Amino acid sequence: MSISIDPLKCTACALCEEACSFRRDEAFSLLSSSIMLYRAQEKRNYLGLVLKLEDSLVLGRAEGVERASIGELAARGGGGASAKPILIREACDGCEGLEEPWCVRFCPTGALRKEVG
Amino acid sequence: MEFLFNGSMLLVDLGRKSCEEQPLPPDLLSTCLGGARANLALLQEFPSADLVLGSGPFTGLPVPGACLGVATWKDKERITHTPLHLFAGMELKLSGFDFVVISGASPEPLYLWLHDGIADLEPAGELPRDNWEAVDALRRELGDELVQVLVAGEGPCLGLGYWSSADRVGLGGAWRERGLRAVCSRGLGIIDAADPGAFAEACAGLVREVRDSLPEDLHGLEGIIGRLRGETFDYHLPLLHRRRSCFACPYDCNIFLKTEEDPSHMEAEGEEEPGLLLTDAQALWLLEEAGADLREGVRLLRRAARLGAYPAGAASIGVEATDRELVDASPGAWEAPGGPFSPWAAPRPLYEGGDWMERQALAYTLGICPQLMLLSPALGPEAFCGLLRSGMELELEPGELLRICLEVAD
Repeated sequence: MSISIDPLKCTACALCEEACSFRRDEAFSLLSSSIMLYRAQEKRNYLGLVLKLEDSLVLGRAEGVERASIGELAARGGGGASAKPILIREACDGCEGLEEPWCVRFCPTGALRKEVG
Repeated sequence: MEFLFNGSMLLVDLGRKSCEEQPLPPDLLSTCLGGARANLALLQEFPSADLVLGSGPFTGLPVPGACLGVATWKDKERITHTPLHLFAGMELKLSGFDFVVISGASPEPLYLWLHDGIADLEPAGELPRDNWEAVDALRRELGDELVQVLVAGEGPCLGLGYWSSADRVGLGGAWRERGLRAVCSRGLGIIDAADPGAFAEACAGLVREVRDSLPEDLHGLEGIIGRLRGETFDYHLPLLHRRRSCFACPYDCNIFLKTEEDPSHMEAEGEEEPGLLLTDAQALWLLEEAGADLREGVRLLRRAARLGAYPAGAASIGVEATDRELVDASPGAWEAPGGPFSPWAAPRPLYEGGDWMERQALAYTLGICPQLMLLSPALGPEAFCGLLRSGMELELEPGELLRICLEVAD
């Protein structure tokens, strides 16, 4: 099971981050998630989502969805503004064993959906 | 252990330039729950203080609409509660302090920096009076673009980062006069629930219920205005770029309007400052009622945000206003039932049967957006009692919950 991102549906509520962190820690924070909201360019209202997989990152940007290797993104200095950059976080396992990933359950806009197969 | 809270508060004396961390008073949360109600109790416990920034039990958690921090201000005999929305309430709570109790005044400008359970009062003598420049300067100094800044600039209205806050009582001017130019926070804390699994399941269910309770075509400030007018929920706003939610909110009420760039431009590159995030339905309403050109109106509101002028007051005096006229503009207020709550949210519930005062009292005490409380009937005392049970091991009946929350309105 994997997760698809429709970035233009995202309204930057960050529920996905907190839900994913909860699944890791059984507590509430924004530090442990495998998905991260990019909200640094506030004056431009530019926002997006970054999902960490085992060997790559899915970048859900307003321009479209792109998959980048972790090495490539690290070389670009990417990973988003965070005290705990996405590159050092655990990879998404699609909430293995659960019917629906936590981030998808909490997403109120349909920006995140599960993909089977 | 204090479930759903950090368990600590900060006492700030601006005159002595001191910050002292203390555990929360015993029984504060079990008797007052948090938010505005707990802020009132802290003002009684610390009579030299006149300002408390507080969190509700749900602030910063995945409860729908749980973005809210509350600034409670005692000005002579009048006590008011100002909602701190967007990401400010969440970052404040996750910085490690549930409540910040402020007293005194400093002859020299200071800013308060809260992060990782640490508090510092720093000099702010060089901080620009323009709110946007001040936020940029603070984020550069603190090395983090996600720091949330409550900023007191030239005018009376507290700035919520770059954007206008829901302040209608002159918090910004009052902070500046006592030497407090900004409160900066960054939330990297971790909050525990008594029964984390049950609490998270209940949150997921409530997110779905709230989302399902909102009509599909209801979006943005224009949706709120449409409902107030009894007309079409959603109408075309020509400058609309994207709508945004506050933290944890299923409703995308904040609208980004681009005045300096094609609104359909979605790429990261482009104008540095292409527009304005508008969070104030009344300001948009007033611009429309006046028949103002929307682009010029939004430019006016952007000037107001930079100056720390009231957005609704700015909208009511027109696009030709000088900076001085903007700073001097009145708060502007819809005719709401009154009480100590900010008239920022809609003046009546936007669904059948709600009680405005009850909805506001619940919102300000529990840490839920007061606007969302007026939009969704799914957010009610029964649901909140369930969350308080699994989150804090508090056994409350809905009537008892309402009674505690409504003490804020007395």
